[in-house]
Amino acid sequence: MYTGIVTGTLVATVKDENLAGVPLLLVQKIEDGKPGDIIVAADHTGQAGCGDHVYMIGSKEAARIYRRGNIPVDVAIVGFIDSYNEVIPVDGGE
Amino acid sequence: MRLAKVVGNVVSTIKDDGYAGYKLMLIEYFDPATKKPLPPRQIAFDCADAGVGDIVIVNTDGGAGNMLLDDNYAIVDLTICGVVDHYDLR
Repeated sequence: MYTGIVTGTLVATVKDENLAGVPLLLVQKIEDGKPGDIIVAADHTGQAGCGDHVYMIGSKEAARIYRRGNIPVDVAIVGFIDSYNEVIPVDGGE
Repeated sequence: MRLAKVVGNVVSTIKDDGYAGYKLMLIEYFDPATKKPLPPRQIAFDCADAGVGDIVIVNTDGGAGNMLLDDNYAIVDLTICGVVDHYDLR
C-alpha cells in the first residue's frame, strides 16, 4: 500500500455503470516525502476529504476491497494515517 | 517475494474494518546485490512479528496475503512473511 494526500475531488457523470456510487478523489502520491504524480482514487472509506493523509491499495486488491461484484477500480483509499513513524530516515543508508 | 527492510511503522485508526488488529509496518525494498534502497517506501502488513531494522521477506500478492493472515476478509497486498537471519549472494 502506498501513501498520498487527498488534493481534490472529481465528478464524472458519464462513466461505466459499475462505477456508479463510487466517490472519486484526486490524490497526490507521496514517495519518500516527495510529492509524486496525482492519481484518481476510489474512496473506500467514504470519509476522505482534501488534505487528508491517506494510504491506498492498488491493482486487483482495490477492486476486491469493495467485496461486492465487479467494481472496476485500480486504486482505493483504505485508511487514514494517524502517525507515520519513519524510524530510519530516508537517506539512512546501510 | 522480495527482500525489504522494515524502516518504521504506521498507526491508523480509521481504516477498512477488515484491517483491525493487524500491524502496519513501513518497508523499503532494497537490492541485495548493491544493498541500495529502492524507493518508494510502502506499507505492509506484518505477519512475522518483524521489528524496525529487520531484513524481511515481503509477499506481494493479495491472494497469498490472505493465506498468510489466514483471513479472507482482510484484503491486503503486501505482507511480511518472514524475518531474514542472513542471506548469501554468490
